[in-house]
Order: sequence, then structure tokens, then C-alpha cells
Amino acid sequence: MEVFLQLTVSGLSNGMVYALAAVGFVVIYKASEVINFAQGELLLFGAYLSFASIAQIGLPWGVGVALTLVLAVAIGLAIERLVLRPLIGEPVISMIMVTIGLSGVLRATVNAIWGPRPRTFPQFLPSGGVEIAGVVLGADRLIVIPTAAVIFVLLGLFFRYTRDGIAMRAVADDQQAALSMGISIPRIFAVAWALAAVSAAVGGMMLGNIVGLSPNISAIGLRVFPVVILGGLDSIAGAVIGGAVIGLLEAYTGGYIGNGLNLVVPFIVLILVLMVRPYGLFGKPIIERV
Amino acid sequence: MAPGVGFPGGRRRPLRTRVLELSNVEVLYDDVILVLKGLSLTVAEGSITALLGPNGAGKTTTLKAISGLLRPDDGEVADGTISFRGHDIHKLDATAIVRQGIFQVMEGRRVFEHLTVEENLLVGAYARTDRAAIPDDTQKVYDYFPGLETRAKQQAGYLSGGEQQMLAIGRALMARPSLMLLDEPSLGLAPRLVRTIFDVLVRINSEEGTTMLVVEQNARLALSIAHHGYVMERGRIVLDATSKELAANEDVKEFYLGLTEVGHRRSYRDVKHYRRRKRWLS
Ligand SMILES: Nc1ncnc2c1ncn2[C@@H]1O[C@H](COP(=O)(O)OP(=O)(O)OP(=O)(O)O)[C@@H](O)[C@H]1O
Ligand SMILES: [Mg+2]
Repeated sequence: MEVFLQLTVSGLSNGMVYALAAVGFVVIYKASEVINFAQGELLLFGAYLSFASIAQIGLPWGVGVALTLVLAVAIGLAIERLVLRPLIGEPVISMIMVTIGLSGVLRATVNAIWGPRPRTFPQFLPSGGVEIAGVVLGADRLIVIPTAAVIFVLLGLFFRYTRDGIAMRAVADDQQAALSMGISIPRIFAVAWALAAVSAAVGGMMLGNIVGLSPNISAIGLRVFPVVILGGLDSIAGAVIGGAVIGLLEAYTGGYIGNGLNLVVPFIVLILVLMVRPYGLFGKPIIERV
Repeated sequence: MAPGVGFPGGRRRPLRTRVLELSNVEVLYDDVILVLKGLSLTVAEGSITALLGPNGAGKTTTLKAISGLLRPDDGEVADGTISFRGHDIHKLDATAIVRQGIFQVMEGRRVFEHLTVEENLLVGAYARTDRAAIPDDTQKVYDYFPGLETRAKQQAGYLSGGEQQMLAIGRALMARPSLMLLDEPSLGLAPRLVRTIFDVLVRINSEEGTTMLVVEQNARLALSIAHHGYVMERGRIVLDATSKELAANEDVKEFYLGLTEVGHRRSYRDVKHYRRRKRWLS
């Protein structure tokens, strides 16, 4: 029971970090059909920005986090403006290739500024243990879960109730029809990148707290793929649940079956799910009227 | 469907000011395919103007040239001018043109399938700045199309074809355009539904004062609500007259109204009088 609870919390908190990276991926995919290979690097960049503002500049952690989020928005907007907008109208595949280049540039930038060695992350989440039902669990990991949940709820509200959120879903449904409504497609792409950068930055900061900081954490980007394929490329709820499922599967297989297998089992489950549900668990099927 | 062709009684009014003027418009797709070959037409303030013609004549292209929607199709206005209320608009992008008060209801309805009816209407109002008026206008759309209100919270993809067409028109109303461009609003709908929709178009035209340019294959229907009509073929206007005159025109009767064969509306394709068709072009 004790092991089970610990594995659950560890798997779920990792899974929420995957989900934070994955929702950004999904938002960009929905808006523009671009598969963003730089999602892990956005997360990496966010983590280092908070490291710089809290540990290097010495800002109080709340201010440092806020500054990181603002910078993440700026980076998201800048990427869209400088890298992707010139390609609007070109085949989607060229935008996808550009995100591969972008991931290299972001990683190299982090390496150039902060070096390849691991850094001590300025842990701002409480680091002690919390006793629940007689089991001691990491407080930082416990906090990651509701923090991510807040981000997901905010995103959900954004897409459901705001003018630009609804417009983004319209663009996802039919870009040319959205254009005929007077929706500016570049503006929607820019909002998508800003949202992706912010949710990735939150993920990066969470990850810094629970596992520490090194350029290697961008490897999270690879986990995004099983997560979004499981959840459905275009489903935000799917990304969240896909993140949780993959995180838990990794933790349970690592804990009960053995390390090494934990990286394989999620893919086996993924293949099984796709055999039953080819659009992923929550992917948007094509609506067919009867 | 109403058998006769003509105006609903007493609806005519002085139509003098030109809201829209296309002159010698040429449209190229992919930089090489010339589809509009010097097309000129005008639309009078407050009118319903019909644009008729066979498949591939360039009707949709004409509407997209006006609304700025050619770009995603790799098309461009290569020559000529399009002016709206005295301002040239052929260099503006679609977003700017919507803000000028021109709104296109695209061919094939194009509702946002995964958005609810209500959200579709909200998106229609996207470019508006007077956001406070949106609830009232939503209600107005529901008054024009009562069927939509009961389905407000449903995904638009599950509406019937007729309901989707109503939603597409309602969505356009939400933008409060002064010029509405309608591309084949009757496409694929049962005759009774088509009549309902066209009746509402007439009401919108007279109650909201919305000027309309309606593209139709169904010429009889279009002429039954229009004041003025154009017939185009292969990228040019070949006939231009009041809809009463067009409805009485022998060629139009034969090719578009199919009045020669009792009880059947024949398509222009069935008609073999190729010589007459050619005469329009010379
Ligand atoms: N994106 C495009 N690229 C190249 N050619 C095109 C494109 N869109 C339309 N065309 C061509 O332009 C011509 C006119 O097309 P358009 O769609 O404007 O005709 P239409 O009068 O609306 O026909 P329909 O009644 O079938 O809707 C056609 O020959 C068509 O093949
Ligand atoms: Mg057409």
C-alpha cells in the first residue's frame, strides 16, 4: 500500500508535467496542424528562465515565476512572428521541419548561456514530506498535481468562454471559414504559441522542483508523443488524461516490474489503445450526420 | 416551389447608389490560370442582385475576389478594381474586408462542426467592436430562424443540411454586414426548405437593409427574389438586366429556367442549342 501510494504520486506528478508539455503541443496542432518538435525545449527554456530570475538575479520566487511566465509569452509570440509567420501559406510540412530546427536552436541557446552541467534549481515548492494515511509523500510532488490542474482548468475556460478561445476552435474546425468571419489567422497562431510556451514553462518549473535542472530535461519532449497520441492529437482533455496514464504506467512498471521496462510499457499500451480507438482516447472523430 | 417568376408584391424601391463596383477584374489562380477575364458588375444599395451562370463560370471566384478569400486558394486579383462605397478593397485582406461590412456566406455552408450553434453565432460576430449588442443580435437570428434556438447548445455538425444553411446565414447576420455575399444558399436542400430560406433572405434584405449579391445555379429561384441579375459564362458577364427582364429573356428561359419542357426544370447541360449560347459571348 505504501509503495503503491508513493508510485501513484510520483507517476501522477510526472504525468502532469508531461501533460503540461502536451497541452501546448495540442493547442498548436489544433490551431495550425503543425507538429511542434520543440515542445520539450520550450519546457527546458522555461525552467532555465526561472533558474535565472530566482537563483541568478535573486528575485523572490513569486516574482521570478511571474517574470518567467511573461518571458514565456514573449518567446512564444516571437517564435510565431519570426519563425512561423513567414511560412504561412507554405505546406504545413515546412513549418514542422522548422520546429525541428527550432528545437536545436533553443537547446543550443540554453547550453551557451547556462552550460551543459546540471544546476541546483532554486526549489520553491515545499520540499519536505507529508504524511497521508500513514505514508510519507513528497510535498513538492503533491503540489505539482493541483498546480497543473489549475492550468488545465484555466485553459478549458479560455477555450470555452473567451472570444479568442472560441475563435481558435473555429480555426481548428475550418480555417478558411474562420478567415471569412474576419478572424486573423496569424493572431490565432500567435496566441497558440504563447499558450504553448506558458504551459511548457509551468511544466519546466515543476520539473525543476521535482527532478532538478539540466539540459537533459528537454527529453520530456519525447514523452509528449505517446501522451498526445494516446489522448488524441487534438484533444486537450486527452492530453491531460494521456499524461496521467503514461506517468502512472511508467511509475507502476518501474516500481513493480523493474526499471528499464517502464519506458517500453507505455508504448505497448499505446499500440493496444490505438487498435481499439484509432483517433486516440479523446480524438475528434469526423462528425457524420445520419 | 413557387411557380412564377417575379417580384414579391410592391417590394421595389429606388436603387441608385452603387455600393459595390467591380471593373475589369481579372483573377489568376496559381499565377497562370486566368479565371475572371475582365469582369465588371455593380450592386446597388439595398438591392438583391443575382449572379447566375453554369458550373465553372467563375461565380465563386467572383465572390471570393470581393471578400478577399482568394488568397488561401492561391488566387489573386491581377487586374481591375473592386470598390466598396468608394474605397478600393481589392488589395485588402479578408479580415479588413469583413471590418468594412462585407460578409460572405461560403458555398457548402461551412459551419464550425464542433462548435455549438451559439458559438458559431458568436464567431460570426468576431470582428465587431460593439460587443454589447451581441445578445440582442443572437436573439434576432433566432427570431428569423426559430429552429436554431432549440438547438443552441448542440454541436453544429449534427444539424441537418437546412439547419446548417440557416446557421450559416445567421452567423453572417451576427456580423451586421451592409453587403452579404451568398454562394449557392440552395445547394443540396429540399425545395420547401429552400423557399423558407429565400423568404428569410428577402426579409433580411428589407428589414435590416442588407444589400445582397446572391450566386445561384437555380436561376428561377434567384430571379424570384432579386431586383437585378447578371449572367456570367467563362469569366465574363454575358447578360445584365433587371430580373424581370432576365426572367422573360428567351435564352435565360431556355438555358436556366428550362421552361420549354413542361414540368421539368432542365439544367443548362441538357440543352443543346450551342449556337445561342455562343451568341451571348459575341
Ligand atoms: N483554387 C483554384 N485553383 C485553380 N483553379 C481554380 C481554383 N478554384 C477554381 N478554379 C477554376 O476556376 C473556374 C471557376 O471556378 P468557380 O468555382 O469560381 O466556378 P463557379 O461558377 O462557382 O462554379 P460552380 O457552379 O461549380 O460552383 C473553374 O474552371 C475552376 O476549375
Ligand atoms: Mg461555385
